[in-house]
Amino acid sequence: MLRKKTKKQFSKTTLESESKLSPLERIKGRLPDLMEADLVFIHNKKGLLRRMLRRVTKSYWDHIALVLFPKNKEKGYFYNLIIEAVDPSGIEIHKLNKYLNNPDKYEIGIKRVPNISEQTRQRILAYMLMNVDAPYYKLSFSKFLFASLSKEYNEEFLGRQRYSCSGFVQKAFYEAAGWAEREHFIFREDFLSPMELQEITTPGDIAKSDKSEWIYNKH
Amino acid sequence: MSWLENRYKNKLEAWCKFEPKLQLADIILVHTKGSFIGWSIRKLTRSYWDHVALVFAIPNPKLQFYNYLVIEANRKGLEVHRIQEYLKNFRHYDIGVKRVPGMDLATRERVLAFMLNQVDQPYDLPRILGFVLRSFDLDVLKNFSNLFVDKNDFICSSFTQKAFYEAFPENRKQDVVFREGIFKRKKTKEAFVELLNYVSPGDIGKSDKAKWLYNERR
Repeated sequence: MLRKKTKKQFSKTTLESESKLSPLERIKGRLPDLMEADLVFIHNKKGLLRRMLRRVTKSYWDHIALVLFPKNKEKGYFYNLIIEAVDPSGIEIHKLNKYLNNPDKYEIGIKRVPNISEQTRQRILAYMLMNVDAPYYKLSFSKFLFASLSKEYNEEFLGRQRYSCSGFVQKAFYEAAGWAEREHFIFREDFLSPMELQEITTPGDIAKSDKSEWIYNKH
Repeated sequence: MSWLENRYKNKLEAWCKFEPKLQLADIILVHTKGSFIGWSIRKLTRSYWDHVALVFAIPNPKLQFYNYLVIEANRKGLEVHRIQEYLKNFRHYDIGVKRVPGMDLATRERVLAFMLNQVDQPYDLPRILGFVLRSFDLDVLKNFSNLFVDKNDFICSSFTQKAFYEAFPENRKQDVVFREGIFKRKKTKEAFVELLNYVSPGDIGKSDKAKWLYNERR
């Protein structure tokens, strides 16, 4: 009798905690506790341009956002809020649930840059907020099409194309870091100046970089 | 320089002198020029103001943050924007600022937390139709107007009202009820729903519960 009751109670608790999970978490597992400036990678399952972008940048991910305000019940924040560059409006703040509640359309992965001082983390936050409403660089469908078809053009294209989302993330880390630690926050490996790299860093470069560590759904 | 350009320049200069006095959770009232919806709201609520936003972030030179951000419910939903959205073109907007007195940092942070929890919340456009129906002095239409209100969604002023109401402690909630006379007879659940549903930017503009700091108009 007691065992039956305990089993019933256990399954009820499991069901309750399962029901609190978002649809994507039910598939990929519960999200870890997030921190400010965690990197959120997005795989957009719909859209030809997004598919071409992944092909050209040779990555599973086609978009990136940053955690701005993580869930914090003491402060009364009940949601994880992210900041991202979106087409066409530019840099905006949204709930992470935007991606978690729609697993048919999106999949997400999360990385964390280790050993960031609290001061640097706060400066990254400030940089992100400073850039709210900054405009979006539109991605050209035809250029991505050519780049996905021609290997030669692909190399040239990857050296020129600006990405608003990953460029913003790269700049946030680079600008917020002190002089001594800046080199630890350059995600793209290339023989270019930091100024150039900030503009052309792709979501794939940041995903592949060993300057940050996977904490959710590694790809 | 034309007379009009000179007028806008003076306005901008006056704003620049005032801007450093802004604090978190200050109320920004907006008059939108050349917008039919803005004009309709002003006419229906008999006020100079048709939109309201709250100050969400102020400069912090220690972190090299030099912007003023506002949070507001516009037709796309609840969003954060730079205040320059209104300042860069005084031809399209006029703004005023009010402040709820006696707020400590903890209360301001609770107002902010409420705002953050509502980001991405959709805008309740049909509620404007509810405002239209309520403007007629007929009980039938007033009751009918409730059908156009979505209790989970917001318009700019109901969001602002709820942010303050939720942030204040129980014994001080009355200090932030911007719609006059709403709890006059009885503090019922219906009266509270009525408050959230039909508080307008004009009510906030006219209310004595928030003090004018800049560009006082009713």
